[in-house]
Order: sequence, then C-alpha cells, then structure tokens
Amino acid sequence: MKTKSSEKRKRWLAILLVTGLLAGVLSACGNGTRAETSSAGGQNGSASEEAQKTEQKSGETGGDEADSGEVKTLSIFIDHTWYPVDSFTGAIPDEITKRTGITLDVTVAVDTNQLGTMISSGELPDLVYTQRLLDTLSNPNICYSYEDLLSEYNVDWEIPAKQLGIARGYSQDGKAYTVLNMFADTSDWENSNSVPMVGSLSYRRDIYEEIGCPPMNSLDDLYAVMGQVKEKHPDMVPLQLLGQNWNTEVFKDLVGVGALRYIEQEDGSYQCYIRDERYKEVLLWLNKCYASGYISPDDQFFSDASQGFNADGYFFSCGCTQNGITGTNAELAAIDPSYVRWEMKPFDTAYYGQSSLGWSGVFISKNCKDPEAAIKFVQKMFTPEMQQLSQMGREGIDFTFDDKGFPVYSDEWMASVKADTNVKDYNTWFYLGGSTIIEADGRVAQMEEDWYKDAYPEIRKRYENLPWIEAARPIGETDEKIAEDKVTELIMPYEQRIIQASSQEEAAALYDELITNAEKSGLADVEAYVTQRVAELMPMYQ
Amino acid sequence: MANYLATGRRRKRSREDWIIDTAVYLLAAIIFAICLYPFWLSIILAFNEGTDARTGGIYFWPRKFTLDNFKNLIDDPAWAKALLITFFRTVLGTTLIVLFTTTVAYGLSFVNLVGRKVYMSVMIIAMYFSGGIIPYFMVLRTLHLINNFLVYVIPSMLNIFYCMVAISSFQGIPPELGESARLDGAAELTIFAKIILPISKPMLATIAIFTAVGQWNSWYDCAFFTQNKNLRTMGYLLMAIINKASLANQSMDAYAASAASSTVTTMSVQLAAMIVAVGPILLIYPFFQRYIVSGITIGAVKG
Amino acid sequence: MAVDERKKSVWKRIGKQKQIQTFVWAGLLFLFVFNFVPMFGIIMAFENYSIADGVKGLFTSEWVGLKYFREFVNDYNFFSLIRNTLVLSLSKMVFTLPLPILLALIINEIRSRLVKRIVQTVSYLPYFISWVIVAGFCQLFLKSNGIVNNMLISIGSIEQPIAFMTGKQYFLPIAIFTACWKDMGWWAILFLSAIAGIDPNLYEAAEMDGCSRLKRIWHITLPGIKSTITVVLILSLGNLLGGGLGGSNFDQAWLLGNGGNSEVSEIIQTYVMKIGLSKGRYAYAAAIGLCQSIISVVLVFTSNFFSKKVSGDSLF
Repeated sequence: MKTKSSEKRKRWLAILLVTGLLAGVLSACGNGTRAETSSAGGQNGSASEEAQKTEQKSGETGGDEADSGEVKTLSIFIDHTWYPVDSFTGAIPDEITKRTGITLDVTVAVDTNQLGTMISSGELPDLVYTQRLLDTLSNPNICYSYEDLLSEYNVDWEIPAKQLGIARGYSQDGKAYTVLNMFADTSDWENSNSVPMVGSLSYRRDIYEEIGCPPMNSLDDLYAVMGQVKEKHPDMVPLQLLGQNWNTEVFKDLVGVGALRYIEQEDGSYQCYIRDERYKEVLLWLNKCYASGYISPDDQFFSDASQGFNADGYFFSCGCTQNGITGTNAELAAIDPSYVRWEMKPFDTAYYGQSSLGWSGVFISKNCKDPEAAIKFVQKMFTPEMQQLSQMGREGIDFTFDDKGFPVYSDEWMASVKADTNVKDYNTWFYLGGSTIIEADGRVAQMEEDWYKDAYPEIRKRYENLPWIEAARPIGETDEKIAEDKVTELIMPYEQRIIQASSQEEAAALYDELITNAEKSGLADVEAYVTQRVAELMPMYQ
Repeated sequence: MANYLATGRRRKRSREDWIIDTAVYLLAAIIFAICLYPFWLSIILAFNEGTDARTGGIYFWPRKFTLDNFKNLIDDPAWAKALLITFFRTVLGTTLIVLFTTTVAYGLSFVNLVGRKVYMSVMIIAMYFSGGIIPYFMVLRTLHLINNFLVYVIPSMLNIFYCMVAISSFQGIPPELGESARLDGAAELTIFAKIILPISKPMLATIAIFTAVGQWNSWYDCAFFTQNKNLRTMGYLLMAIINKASLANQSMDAYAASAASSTVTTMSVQLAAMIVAVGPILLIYPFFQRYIVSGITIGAVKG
Repeated sequence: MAVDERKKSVWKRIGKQKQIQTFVWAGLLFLFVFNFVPMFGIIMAFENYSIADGVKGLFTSEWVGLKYFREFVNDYNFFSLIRNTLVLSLSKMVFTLPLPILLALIINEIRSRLVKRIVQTVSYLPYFISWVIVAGFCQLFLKSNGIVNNMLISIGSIEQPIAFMTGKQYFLPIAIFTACWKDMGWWAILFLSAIAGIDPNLYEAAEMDGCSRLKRIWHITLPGIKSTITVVLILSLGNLLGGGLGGSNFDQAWLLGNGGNSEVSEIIQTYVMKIGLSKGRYAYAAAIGLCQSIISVVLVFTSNFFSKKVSGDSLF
C-alpha cells in the first residue's frame, strides 16, 4: 500500500471533514439540550412555546407580576399510559387556569418503565401524577414533602388526618410527599345518593321478565336462571366473565367475602382471601357454569370489554357500579329499544368490604421551578369548589343541581357526550385532587333510576371501607412485598385454570395447588406481617 | 440470480421446468393469499365501525363504512410535526447506519486482519450484554444527546447484526476486485466506496430497508430520551394512541373511560394507527426492492 | 495481501493494515461509548439497588451477591419457566429459520418479473402488523364463533367449538404459525439479497453443462447463500431465549398467554416483567437479563465453533 501525495491530501481532507462534522454535531448538541428546556432563548420552539417560556421567566423573577394574574406553567408527568388526554386544554382546564393561575404542560407515559428511568436519572418534571412507585417517590432526595412546603410558604391547608397518615405511610422519614385523591371513609358514603365503585352483577331485565322473574338470591339461583336463559336463547352467553375485570370480585362480594385482600379472622389475625372457603365455593361454582356452557371460553382471553361479543350477547355481566352499564345500555338501546340492563339486587349474604386508600397523587419533584406555586395549586385542587369544577364542570354553565343533589347537565354537555367530543371540549380528566363521591354522583346522574334502584341502596348498606388493611400491605423491596407480588401473579392464572378444569374434582385439586404454591411463595409470612402492621396502624384510623 | 431465468435464451421448457413452475406458482399463490388476506382484513376493519366489526362476519368489504377510526389520528396537529421529525430521522438515520456499519464491516471482512478474532468477540459481547437503561441514559446525557434530535440517529449508528450480514456479503466478493486498485495505490476508503459498495447494492438495499423501517417505527428512544414535544416521533404518537385505546386491565377509571359510548373500539383504532404508519413504507419499498431482486449486473462483476 | 505477510511481525502487519484497522477501531470506539461504558450497570444485578438512588446508587448500594439469582432459582415455577421458554424457542427455531430460505428460493424461481415482485411484496406485509393486532386476528379467526370453528362445525368434523385461545395444547402451534407467518417474508428479503449477490455466470455455466433446475438450486444457489445462512443461524441461536430471528417470544407469550394456557405460555421474560420490572425491581430484572445474556453468548460461541468444524463457515 503505497501512499502518493494526492492520496495524502485526500486523506487529510477526509479527516478534516470528519472533524468538522463532529464539531458541528457536538455544538448542535450543546445548543439543543438545555436551551430548550430551561432558558427562554430556544430557537426551535414554536411561537406559543416561546410565549410560555417568557411568561415563565417573568413569573419566576417578578413576584409582583404574578399577583396581577400572570399564568405560570408547571410541567407534569402523568404515569397512566391509558390516560385519554395529553394536553391541558378544554373548557374545564381553562377555568382551572383562570382560578389558580396555573397551566400544565402535560406528558403522558407511553411505557410503564418510563417513570422509573426518570426517577433514577433525576429527570423528573415539576409534578408527577401517579399511583405507582409511591414509596420510591416519597423520598426527600427526589421530591418535596407537602408538610415542609406548607409551612415554608404559609399555605393554609389542613390535610385530613387519615389522608395525611396514608401518605406518611409511604415514606421513610414519616413525612407526607403527596395526598392521594379519591379517598372516602365509610361514613362519607352514608350521606351520598350514589355508591362507591364496587363489583356488581348486571342482567338483561327484559329477558329476566320474559322467563318470569325467578328468585336470584344465591349462586344456585343464578345457575338455575342461566339454565333457563340458555334454553330460551341458545345463542346467548349466560354469563360474561371478561379477562381480569371485576369478574371474581363480583361473586366474592355476593357470597360475603368482600373485596378485601386480607380478612380478619376470629383470633384477630389476617388471612389472604384465597384461603376463604367461600372463595373456593365461588370458583367451583364458576367451574360448574363453565362446564355447562354458560361461560364463553373466549372471554378468558379477551382482556377488556371492547373485545368481547356485542352488548346483546350476554345475559349476566360482571362489571362495576356507577358507570359499568351506562355504555352498555346505550349500545343495547341502539340495537333494540326494549333491551335494557339492570344491576342485580345483592344476595342477603352480600358484603361490600373494600380497603381503599385513594387512587393517585401529585408529587412535587426537587426539579420543580416553583414549589410554592405547585403546593398552592395542589391545595386548591383539593378544595370542594375545584373538585366540583374538575370533575363535573362549571356550575350554572355546564350543570345545575337538582333537588336530590344530583347534577343535571346542560344540553351542550350532553350533546358533546353523544358526539364523543366531551373529553376534547370540556375535559374532566384533571381531577388531581378529585373526590370519589363527586365522581360517583356525576356518574350515577347519567343513569336511569330503574337501572340501579334495586341494587344501590342495598350496596350502600353493606359497604365498608377498611383502609388500614391496604395500608398494612408490604411496600418497598422487602421480602414480604416480593412474596405478595408473587402470590398476586399466581392467583389470576389459577382462577382461570380452575374455572376451565374438566371436572369439579380437578378444579378442587387445582385450588389446593394454588394454596400450596402461594404457601411456597411465602404467603404465611405476608399474612403475619399484615397482622402485625394492622395492629400498629389501626389506632390512626379509629 | 434473478435474471438468469427471465433473460435466458428461449429454449424449450423441459418436463422438469413444467413441474417446478407449476409447483412454484402454486406455492406462490398460497403464500400470496395467506399473507395478503389478513392485511386486507386490517384495512377493511379499520374503515369499519368498531362495534359493528365485533359482531364478526366481515371478510371482504367494510359493512358500515366510517372514517372515525382515523379521525383520532388526523385531528391532532402534533402529527404533522411528528411526520417531519420521523422523515428526517429515517433519512439521516438510515444513511448513517448503512454507511458506518458497512465501513466497519468492510474492515472486519479481511480474514488476515490482525486481532480480528478479538474484535469479533467484542462485537458479540456488545450485542448480547447491556447494562440496562439507567447507565445508558447517563452516557447519553454526558454526550448531551438527551432532548436532542441526534439521539435518534447517533447511538444506533452501528448495528452489529447488520454488520455481521455485511461482513459475510463482503467476504463473498472476489478479492481480486480490490487488489488491482490497491496495487495502483488507491486508498481503502476509495476502494470501498468506488468498487465494493457499488457491487453490494442488494445487501445495502436490504440493510437500508431494514433500518429505515426500524427508524420509522421507533418510539422507545423518543419516550425515554426526549421530553421535548417538538421531537415527538410518529412511532411515539402511535404508541400513545394504542395505549389510550387499550384500556385493558387498568384501574377503575380506565374501566370507566371504556364505558363511554362510542363506536370506536380498541382494535379498530389500533388498526387505523397501524395503517397510517405502514402506508409510507409500502410506498417507498418498491424503490429499494428493485436493487434486491435485480441484483448486480454482469458488467459490474466483470468490470 | 499475499500469504507471506503472515510471517511478518504483528506490528508490521498492523502498519500495513492501518487504513482498515482505522475503520474497525472507529466501530470499536463507538461500541465502547454506547455499549461498554453503560455495561457497568450490570453490577446492579448483585446489589440491593433502588432507583431512588440514581446512578450513584450503583456504586454505593449494599452488595447482596447472588440473592436475586437464588430468588429466581428457588421460585416455585422456576423449572416450568425454563421448560416453557426452551420449548417455545426451540420449536419456533425449527420452523422460522428454514421457511424464509424456502420462500426466497421459491420467489427466485418465479419466471415472471411482475409476479415475482408482487409475491415478494405481499409476503412481507404481515411483518408490519404489530403483535397486538396479530393477537386480535387470532381471536377473530379462532374464537368459538370465529371463522375456523365455524368452518370445522359446518364440515362436521367437530360438534362443539374448540377453545383454541385458552386451551394449553393450542398455544404452541398458534405461536409457531403466527411467528412464521409474520416474519417469513421479511427475513426472505435478506436471503433474496444474498441470492442476488451470486455471480450469474455460474448459472450460465451450469446450464450449459446441462444441469437441471433443482440441481442448480442445490449446487449453486444454496452454496451461494450458505455463509448468509450460517451468520443468521448463529445469531438467531444466540437469541434463542428471545425467540430466534424475530425475537418474538415476549410479545407472543404476553399477548397470547392467559390463565387457560399459562402452564405452557408463562416464560422467563413475561414472569420477570410481571414480578420485576413492572414493580420497579430493576436489579432483579437485571439479574435475570444477565443470565440470559450469558446463555446467549455461550450459545453463539459454541454454535460458531461447531459450524466452523462441520461446514467451515463461521461468524468469526
């Protein structure tokens, strides 16, 4: 390989070119990264973003301007991949901005691992709205604690003791780093017209009347009803049991197990519900239904309601209260006006025990540009006025209250619901400090009274929220938490296998196998842990 | 080679030809049907009302025609920007990956390269081991690639799998081709660019189409390494739509949202999203395909 | 480069090769930055690492040794996970590698250029259909009132619909079929391009010698793409646990798996996703990932070794 002078020149040229390119690349990087996120001097931003940044800057520097109605922008990461909105737009967000002086720059997760990566790399936005990794985020290196911010900025917010206690339970230092929305006590529901969201069985009222309204007060009754339905309508699936949604929970509630993960025993200890005889009974009964052809095998494969058969294909359907049948009834009415689905009156044995700590919380990250504005914003979102606004719209414009206290929506609102543009036009999805009771009222108001009049008063009577059980469940990366996760992953497949077993004996054997494997995964340790924690936590909730 | 049959002199077809041709055409017809039908089904279902499609019985033509499934996608102004970003990343990314990967492959294709065995082992190890996303993120941040368009093209510049394919392809080229130029004192880069690359068109086209499709569909880097909304790619927006549509196994609120009455279903929106994403690739592919099926010309080999 | 160069000293040879060495080193430098530097993250597999500690945590976390490996091995369904993963991977491997080669050969034998192009274009269309949609199609075709069941009932071969999607004996055939269907045409592109690279003179010479078409395929086409086949075979063996060529094990097991067939459809990746990553347990996931990587590399080096011994072709 000889080298001529021309060759040399060419090579130098090539090297120069490469170096030049590299330099260009690197300098471009330098300009690109920080400029766009932090300073107002970004050149690639669109006009509106420029405007936002200028606002931000002035908001940061001049406090006097903030008072004169300056709008501040906070960035928020919403860790719900399914979230139906990805921008803070619509009539309701506009009104929120008007009342709080805050607008949100929204990013919705597209992958569940995103939040973990953001936490570990320190790239969190101002706010994080999530129901996962609560214990990881409740960390002074990652987020501001609400209590510190409240006292530092003299914000007047008396967080209810239980919610405060729940939030503190997630942190190591005993401070609250968030407040979970959608929390309600048993007593809160007593004055409500609606019901909490629990599993509920709905049935085709028109067909039920057709077969002469036989009693439905036990699993055996239901089995008999399904037999009659199958006889009259051989093409129909008597019982819809879709994927993992609500299906076994509905029956657990009906036979009296409730939706509690751990159940208090006579000696005061707590046991996982899978050990309950009544749970076994439910599974064996479902197996009997399956063997009789009352459950479609396909339903076990479909994971959500939109994948199964059409609404008129099922007689019984496992779902939830509040809005479980609203959409289905709309679909049914479109097929035939006489078709309608009612929620079934619970058995006499029914028990609606739940353990709910709330749903999601807003965390204020250490990267937050303006923690003062953030905490004030969160506080406002928890006020009753803002809860109403964010979940039901503007009173007087979008809805008015009737004499029972249910909202009556405006014609424009209802039209937008029909046209499927409600989310875009109004946007009820920023209930960061939402109330589950207001939500329930809003949803039940959209139902006809007939649909739920048998069921809801009974459910309300038999409902109970025992938050300490959920609070006592292990968190962090402890052995108990790992064991509990493993048990959780065991249950669903085993439920399906038991339901599909070829005989009752096989189903019973599989149930025993489930318990054995749960034992092997450390269930007893988890139960001991929960028992002990409940004893510690109970006083706070009494 | 492709041409030897098509351009072959007219001669009498033997009995063997008849048998083979019949078998080949028969198999081709079966493959054609099996592969095309589900794709066709996707298209007609995407243009059909979701709730109606769920009742089944749609095989060849939409029953209740609608554009609702596409409405979601096109309504959003972010799509135009994403299309532009995706186009640029595809063009730039494909060019860089193909050039860089084949250059490295060219070097490694010399059997007598000192240290070749070690280099190859290093590549294999790099292919199968990874430290996970967190340290990777840190490296990208150190290089100022986070929130930067270049994160789409730079970190993926060397694809080891394509590199291996390119090496095997280069090794199939007779060494004499480069040798005379080398004796004339040509630099390796010149030999590579002027002699080797032109006769490797089928392989280049293959790597290019593989890479381009990967770049076009990519969403992972956008989701994890950029927070800037101006850098959103189409793959990312599609992923977001698919997530939004599949409210499966979620919390109560997700269940609530799915109950909102609408004729749009998970499946129908996903299909529409998919068709929007695949369309442009199908339009561009025939241009690449020309190089793959026609292969190298006899002239190049002899020249 | 003549043979006698081998005798010269290493440095002299490097000096002679400095241009191509530069090409290779550019690649190695790239790998160093983007692959090897981040690899220090692997130590997390041996640490009590929490994402709250960030990158610093990688160096400061408590060392727990093989804790996560023990946890995995002691899991109640460890053996069934390993069995399911291997069965799924191997059975897919047996079909997904030969079919694209066969398809490439068939397409190559089509005389009409137009037909050839159409068939090739159509054959890779399924590649663009995402696994989510493929799973949707599976239910469309295979549900109890789906096309397949209706057909079987109408011809009278069954009376009750078959529960394809939830029966455990059907998972494997469905997984194999969909993997082949989806990726066959795509990977055939690779083999077609290798066929396109074969010197046409060889065919002409063979034809003059009176070789039949089958013989030409056997003696010219197949040997001509042998090295490509070897490369693809070795690399897909390396990805055996991920599902070979297409690497589709996770998608299939995740989307087609359900309680009914979980006995055979639960594989390592889905299990790790469920009890590891989705719970924020990065260290546990890293430990299992590390095991898979080691197995992959061992498989690549072994298969490369045997390939070299048996056929003379190899990756390196």
